[in-house]
Amino acid sequence: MNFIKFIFPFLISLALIVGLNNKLGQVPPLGKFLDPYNGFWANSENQDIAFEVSPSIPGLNEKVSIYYDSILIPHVYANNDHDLYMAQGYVTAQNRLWQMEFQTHASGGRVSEIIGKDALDFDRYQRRNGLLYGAEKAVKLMAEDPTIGPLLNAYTEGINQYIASLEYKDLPIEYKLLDYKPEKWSNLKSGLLLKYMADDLAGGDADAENTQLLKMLGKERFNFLFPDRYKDFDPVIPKSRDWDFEAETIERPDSIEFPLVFPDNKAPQPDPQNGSNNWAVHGSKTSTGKPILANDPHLGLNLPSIWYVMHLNSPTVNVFGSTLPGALGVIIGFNDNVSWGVTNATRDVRDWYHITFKSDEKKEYRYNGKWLKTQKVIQEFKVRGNENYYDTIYYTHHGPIVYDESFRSENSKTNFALRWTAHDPSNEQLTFHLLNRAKNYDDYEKALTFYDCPAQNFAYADVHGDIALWINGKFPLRWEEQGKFIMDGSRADMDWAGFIPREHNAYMKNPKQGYLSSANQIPVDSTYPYYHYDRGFEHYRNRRLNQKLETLQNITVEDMMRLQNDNFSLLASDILPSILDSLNRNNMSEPEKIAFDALSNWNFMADQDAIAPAYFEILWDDLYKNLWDEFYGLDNKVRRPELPVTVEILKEHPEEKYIDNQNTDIKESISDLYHMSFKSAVDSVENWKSANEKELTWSNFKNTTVQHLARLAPFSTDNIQIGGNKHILNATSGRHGPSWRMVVSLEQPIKAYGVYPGGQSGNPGSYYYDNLIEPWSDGEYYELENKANASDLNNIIFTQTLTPEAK
Amino acid sequence: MKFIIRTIIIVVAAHFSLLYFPWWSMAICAFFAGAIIAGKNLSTFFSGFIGLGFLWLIQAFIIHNDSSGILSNKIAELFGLSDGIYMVIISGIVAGLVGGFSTLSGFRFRRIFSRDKSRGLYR
Repeated sequence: MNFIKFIFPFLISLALIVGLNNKLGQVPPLGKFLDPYNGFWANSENQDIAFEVSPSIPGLNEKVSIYYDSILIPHVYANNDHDLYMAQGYVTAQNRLWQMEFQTHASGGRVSEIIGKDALDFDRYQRRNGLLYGAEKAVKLMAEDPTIGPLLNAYTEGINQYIASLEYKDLPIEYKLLDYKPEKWSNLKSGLLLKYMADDLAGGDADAENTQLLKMLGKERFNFLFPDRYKDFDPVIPKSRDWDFEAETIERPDSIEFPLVFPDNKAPQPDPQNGSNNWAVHGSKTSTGKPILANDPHLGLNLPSIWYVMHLNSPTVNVFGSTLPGALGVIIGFNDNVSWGVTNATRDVRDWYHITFKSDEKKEYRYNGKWLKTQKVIQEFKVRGNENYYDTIYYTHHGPIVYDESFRSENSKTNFALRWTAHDPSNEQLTFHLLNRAKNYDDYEKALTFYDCPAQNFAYADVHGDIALWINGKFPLRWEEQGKFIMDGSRADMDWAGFIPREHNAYMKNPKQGYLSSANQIPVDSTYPYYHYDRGFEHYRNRRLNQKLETLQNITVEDMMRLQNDNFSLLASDILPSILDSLNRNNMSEPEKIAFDALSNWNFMADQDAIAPAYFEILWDDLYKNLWDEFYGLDNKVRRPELPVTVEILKEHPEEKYIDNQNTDIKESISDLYHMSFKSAVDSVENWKSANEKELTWSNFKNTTVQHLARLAPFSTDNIQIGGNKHILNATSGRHGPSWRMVVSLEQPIKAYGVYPGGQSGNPGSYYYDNLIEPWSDGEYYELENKANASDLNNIIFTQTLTPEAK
Repeated sequence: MKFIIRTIIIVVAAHFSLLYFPWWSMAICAFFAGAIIAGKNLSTFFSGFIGLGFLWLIQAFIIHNDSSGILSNKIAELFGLSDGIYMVIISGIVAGLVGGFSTLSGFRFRRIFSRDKSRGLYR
């Protein structure tokens, strides 16, 4: 009897303990999770810093001192480079471990291990896309490099020393929520992080869509709607540049037929809004007589922030700027002599080849009249809560077969191999290593020669007065139209013949106009002797930027900050007047009159409190959809014409057949489209007003949100009060925008300022997780002091000393 | 008196245990406290429930308060609750249930062996 009386409470206790120690569906293991000593409560912080004061680090040669300033930027002072990068690894992991690991899991196609089978399709694409394949090749090259190899090892070792020090209690909150543990870092993970960026910035192409459009429209219409360059374009390298070199020649094959086949269902591609602004202004145009450099990369607005800002000091380097958690050195920044910034050199570096296999076994494929062997690789996917999944990927000399009958292509005859510069071994880390230490233009130029992918426009300015801009990366040497459409993988003349010689990449140094800028527009004009193509060069931000840079004189740092926060919509100023002209105010309803007046009086500034941008946003979206309705409803197989063509048709081609909306019985004119879109905009805004309690302002309407990487709403920040939009210098749209703003004045000593939408800590329980969002949205900046001596630093709130382990 | 002593033992033992061991170590403390200091079913259950419940509740409350709820408010929102204080209460209840049943188990475990002896003493 007593045994039975024992067994009941005992079994209940046991069931409670076991039940509360395990994850149930989405619910974390509650006992573990709620424990105030070790669970999520242990991640609660405030403004106090809880890092270990003097952690002992095996492998460190000498002490490293780290001073955290008032916004938790670490100023790292080491006596040698090995210790410096070991400390960088340790400190970054201390703040951003979960993010670093999650991003490299995403890059390597391993998200299913964390969240289960929902991510399997994504993971399969990542592996088929060749990110892991490319990372393995890249990291091998980096590990063999006598400079980068040992430093990469030190960085990895630093991260691992931090991971080794962790108990459950110390794990970042996301591990506790999702119930898993960090694994050891490796050089490969650093490689994967760089490929994550390559995928984000150079992982897009339109080959399949273009091929579909070519079939639908025919050559002439295709070229009219999707031209390689637009009217009124303003290339990155000013048109005044002479190309004073003998270009390599490449023969266009005589009989080209692009195979009219495509995958049934393309995998999603990076956000086409990924872009950036940067510029360098010569001393002749500044108030100090010294150059100023500005840069703001536009990426998805995420928390923890994509960037981690650091100051790294050793006897060989004194550099400050934004780092990517997982990569060593500073990516965008300045040292005592130079400053540099990057924007994406959007340029097609991915081509698709249609492959014909000899048999269904896929052992051989046709190439140049012969059969070549494939290489078969079976990839294993660990899927949480499910059995392992195995995917077979075949490699051709072009690259991996991404689409075949087992992945998004139901027909066994449609196999597509991907050739992508991100697959090739490259050592981008060496570029950043050298840039971090650059003293002058020659050092900068040399550093860039090691940089392949994702291609970037590197703006440069130094204390000697030089400014420059190189469109830098590894670009395939192509005949005209090569890679614009899906190509026949069995013909040797469809392969890339080689690459544009590095010294023939477009660049300019100290131009007469006194400034250089880039904002993802077309790189060069038609006189550049090499074929260059991309599916979507930006057309508005860059022209606004150059108009302002052209007129500004005696430029100050504040002018440059204002320009980064500039809300002028060149697109609206281009099209809105003709829309308003066609509307008649007299027979409008009251809300329509309000909208009409707001739009008529608008100065085209998408400021946070304005209301006109809200109407314009819907109006334009609706107009665009009505104009190009022929292109919708075809799944995601085609893209739509870009904005410059759209505006051109509306203003200059009233007879175009696309103007008629296919869904209605009547034949619409342009002014009908304007009317429909205007009414729709007013309706949408009225609906928004009745569904939302907030006041109608552009920022409330747009609802800029910085989202947690795992899309957990409470860890995100929404409704940020900020103006701007896509195609505007302040490129802040709903989920996208300037991820780091930096302005550097190259006077002596250098003055530098920066801010970003997030915070230095990756812990949602810390004050420093999102403390910079408000200053960022208000257009404020923090001074970035790269003092060579730690004793000159101001506003230090915490000091940490990494100590070699006693022997 | 026994109730108070048992409860205090549970709180002190669990507190130190949690500094070094996983969360369920506190259930072992409660089990032994229940076995060592015998009482009635209800009294043993409640010293576990109140002891561990308040230990977690108070610890969680101090953290919630010191950190201005920066994290607890967010976690509450993840659980569909409006305020981090609910996380304090839930933590207390979870620990209380574990504490109550483990202490009771300890006591009932002792009774398997000690029934005759105790009867002999007090009858």
